[in-house]
Amino acid sequence: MVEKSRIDFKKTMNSPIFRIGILMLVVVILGALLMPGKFLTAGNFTSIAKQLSEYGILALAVFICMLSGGIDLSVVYIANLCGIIMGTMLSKTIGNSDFNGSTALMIGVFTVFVLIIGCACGALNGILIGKLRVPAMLATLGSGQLILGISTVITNGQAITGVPTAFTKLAGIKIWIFPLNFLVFILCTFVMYIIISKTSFGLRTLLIGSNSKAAFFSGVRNNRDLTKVYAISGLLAAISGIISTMRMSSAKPDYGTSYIMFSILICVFGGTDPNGGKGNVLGIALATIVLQMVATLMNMFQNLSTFYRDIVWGALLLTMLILNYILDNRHVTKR
Amino acid sequence: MNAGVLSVEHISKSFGGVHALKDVSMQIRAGEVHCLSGENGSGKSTLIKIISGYYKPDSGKICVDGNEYSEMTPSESINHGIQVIYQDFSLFPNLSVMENLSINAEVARGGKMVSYKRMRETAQRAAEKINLKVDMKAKVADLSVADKQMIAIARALVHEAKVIIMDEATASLTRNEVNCLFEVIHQLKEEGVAIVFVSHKLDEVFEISDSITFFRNGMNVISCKASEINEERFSYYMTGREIQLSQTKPLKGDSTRIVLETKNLTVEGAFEDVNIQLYKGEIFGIAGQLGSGRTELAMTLFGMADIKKGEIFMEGEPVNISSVTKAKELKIGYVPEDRLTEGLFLGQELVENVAITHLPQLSSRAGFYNKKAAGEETTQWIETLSIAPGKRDNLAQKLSGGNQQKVVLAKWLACNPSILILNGPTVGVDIGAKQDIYDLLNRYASQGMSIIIASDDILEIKKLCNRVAVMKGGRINALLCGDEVTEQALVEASI
Amino acid sequence: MLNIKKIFNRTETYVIFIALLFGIAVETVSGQFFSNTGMINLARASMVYLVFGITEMLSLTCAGPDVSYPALASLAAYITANYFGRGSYSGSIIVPFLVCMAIGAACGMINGFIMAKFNFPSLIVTLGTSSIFSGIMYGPLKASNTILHGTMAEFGSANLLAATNAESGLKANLPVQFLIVIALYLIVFFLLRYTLFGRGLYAIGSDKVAAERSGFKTGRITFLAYTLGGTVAAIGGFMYTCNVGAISPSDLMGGEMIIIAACTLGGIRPGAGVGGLFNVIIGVVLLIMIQNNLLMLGIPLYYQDVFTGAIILLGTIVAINSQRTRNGIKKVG
Repeated sequence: MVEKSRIDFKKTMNSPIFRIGILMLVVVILGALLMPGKFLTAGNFTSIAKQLSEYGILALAVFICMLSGGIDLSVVYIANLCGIIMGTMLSKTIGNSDFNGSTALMIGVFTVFVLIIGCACGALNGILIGKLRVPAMLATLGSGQLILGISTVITNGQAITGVPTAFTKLAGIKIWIFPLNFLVFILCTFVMYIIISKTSFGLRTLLIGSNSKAAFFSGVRNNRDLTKVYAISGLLAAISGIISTMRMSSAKPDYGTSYIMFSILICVFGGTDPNGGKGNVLGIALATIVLQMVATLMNMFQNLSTFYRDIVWGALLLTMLILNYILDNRHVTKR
Repeated sequence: MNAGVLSVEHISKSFGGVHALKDVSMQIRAGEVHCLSGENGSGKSTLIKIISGYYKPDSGKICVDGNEYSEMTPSESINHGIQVIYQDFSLFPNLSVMENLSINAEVARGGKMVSYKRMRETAQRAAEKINLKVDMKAKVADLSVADKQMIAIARALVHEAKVIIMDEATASLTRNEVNCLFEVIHQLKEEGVAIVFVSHKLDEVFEISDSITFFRNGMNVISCKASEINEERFSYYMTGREIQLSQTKPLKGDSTRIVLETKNLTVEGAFEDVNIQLYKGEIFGIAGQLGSGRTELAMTLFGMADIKKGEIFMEGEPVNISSVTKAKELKIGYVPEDRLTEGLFLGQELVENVAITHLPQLSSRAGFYNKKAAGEETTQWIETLSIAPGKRDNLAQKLSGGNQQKVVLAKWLACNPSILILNGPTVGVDIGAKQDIYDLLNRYASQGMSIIIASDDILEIKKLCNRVAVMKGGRINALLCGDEVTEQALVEASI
Repeated sequence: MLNIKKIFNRTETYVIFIALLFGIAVETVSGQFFSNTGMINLARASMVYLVFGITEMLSLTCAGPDVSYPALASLAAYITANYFGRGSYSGSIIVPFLVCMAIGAACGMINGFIMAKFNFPSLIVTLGTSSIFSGIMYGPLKASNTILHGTMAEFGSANLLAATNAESGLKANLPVQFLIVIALYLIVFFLLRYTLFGRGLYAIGSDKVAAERSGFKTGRITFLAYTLGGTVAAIGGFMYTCNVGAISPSDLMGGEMIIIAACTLGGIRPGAGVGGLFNVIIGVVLLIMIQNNLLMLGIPLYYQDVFTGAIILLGTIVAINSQRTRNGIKKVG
């Protein structure tokens, strides 16, 4: 029994979640020391929670694709397209009317519609990758460009502004210190956790990422599952697009393109193997929160421009890759 | 004259605390064919990688021509006159035959530039040595497996090598080509080149070797003259135990119950007009060399091909096995040829590796996966098939070849198939585990499962199958039954 | 002997065919494509992309896509232009050119070091370095738009060729910089074909383990490839800055998608050791043709991304699915 618990302890020590947990602790302590009375406040937490949701959800979208051995570079464009469609439809129908029963119904219907569009975009990626055998990177690169183009055509290349307040007001909803979009993020994380860790579809996704040939020879319908994976990714992107439009009351075809890189950073940070077959939803959620904490902490230093963040993100991504590599391979001494 | 051209002394190498090689010493003399034998994981491939400079030994030294080295890089190894013909050929599919034949020589020259004139000459010389006739401009990707193998061999002969290591170099050659290679080897011997020969084909080992070194658990057990060894001694040295090579007669099955039948089955570019019948409870063999249509036929019965013509019947009913999913529904299982790339999820635990084929049974209606049930089931299979090490959360990559093959078997047996197709059931499986797998197959067949074995291992086919279809050039060349299944008949029908 | 069947099995054939069709379409509508000015405009517009194409090709051949070159090129060009381009410098153009190359090489070495040392996907590594490069440019260096003066501006506006279309009276100029493109292509062609480095690059792309066994120093070759790629990208950034006559650090950002698309369209397969400079040229020219001539065909500018996206997708689908197996056994994977 003693032997067993020791092994489990070793396993925990080696898990990426444990590493992020430690890091989170370090950041919180650092924040409390460097910015006393500013970092560890409910207000600051709310602002952290508010900002991380959009790309946190995008990271979940990239995550499930990465788990299946691929990648989705089109998530931001899908999110923007969905935000634009949502914003345009609401402006055309609701206009300036107040929030009431009928506008609520409209918002509900449009949301479902937009989610379906997101799903469809994702499924298109899935078909390209599964059935048409286009490498995931190229497929989503191309579809991202195509979707960007569609958004541009819809908006004539302009940004959508003046999204009805009946809709944008929803972003202000708060339960205790948790803003609505954070709750959406938590819900997405929870559902994704269930899907990945508890369902047979989740297991198949993992195994396709581990070895797609072996999965095929075991009777897994790879193409069908991949279509589902990318459809889920598209759905998550759509959710992210909707809450982003809600928060900013505007949408743009090429808004937040740096989120692609950031989502990948979160995935790698959260312990996902970029080659597929290994990863954990919980790691993604924790990584999102830690990174936003770092960003907020950096923002508190007034003389640091936001662009310093890019340097930190890039350096973190590379450090994390190398660190995970060294920690996982420390027993192997190839030349 | 008989000085050791290559010797290793007290070589040790470990990976993550596991000793792959422990204090290994051996000597190879000029002009001899020295065979390395041992089960998978016994350390012979690690030793080859150390000699070729791919791994760095933890301790010990390598002596070439009297000079001692504590480690070598790949290019140093080449420059010292060591050439390796790898099991996976190590060719560049995107480059031309000419470049593939000559690129090593160019690298070894050590300059910065390449000369196409020089490369052409080198390639020409290499091709002439083994009488290789392929278009020098063709891309290697477009060639047949046998051609690739010959190119890999020819490439090693370009250099004035002192030692040529052949790691399973005959695996994809026909008997004629093997004979041709052996002639080259004899010629090389006369020139004083030492050959290190690794093969799992016993007949070849006995035919060509002068001396044999056995490896077991990372140590060299014994080096001796090939003439002092017979088949029983051989397997004793390989495994360290006396193996009861069972002499039971192959199962005949129930010829009144035809489980599967094909009529004029044709797949374009693979095989045509194949008619076979599979009885309940028998082990049916599909023999034939690489490219004979053997593998393709096995794959077709598992729904992997577009059938151009002909029909498949199961229990007398026509069936359309158009996809793997369909095959699975019809209770057909398939153990693929290449365990590592097609059979296993190397980085995953045994549970997942076994559960994947029958997830619906292990999941609730809503699709929730019952990890506990899967784990218990896996533990059961680990016991039934005596898989070692027997922990269900072991990663598949940590198992030996034989145990990995048992895991692949387990995932299909767990589906309770009525037909199990095995494509090369014991490729790269050591002697001990081989016997285990044969016993298992016999056990399941006697319980009523119908089994098809596609294999180029004639001894294996002879041992297990009462009826054999021998394929040649995409057609069934002979259907052998009972006493007709002899080594000679199998060889004759396949060439 | 020419093999007709082989020619039709190649992606290149289709790309050239599509490019010609498109050219003919533009010619019929506007009559300005197959003219001296039309061709010069095409060469001028493709110029910088052709240079970046080399960088991308080097990375695609041996590992996978490089998405860091726009940030790398912008950073190198910004530092150079900021120092030499603000008016005071009137010496030889060679000095800023070399400085820019050196910065590019240094940045490329960072990519190269990580790619050579570890076996990570190039996409993710270069995403990381890209973020660092652009962060340095905007953060500590506080990059912003400025008009270029002095030697660099003069260099950018010097013309090699000037032509006037006899019918329309339109003028077109080909900058002197086009010579740099030609020189780069000649040098890289030589490196790829006649040096062990070049052959090693293809060998690594084909099979890294086999390349190592053949005695190639795979780490060194990868490192050199990315260093060369960084240098070439910096030259591209330099050319762009001179040509525009202004420091505009954000202009090149996002261009990686187009170049990767152009390379794939041209027939280069990521990390497969397949493809060469010719593939870059046809891919880039086709994409630039389409982007520049949509207006002439009466299609509004903001449809450009739709077309680009659709062409990337269709191109890769056709290219990948044209190489199916000859027998009836299904492909797996």
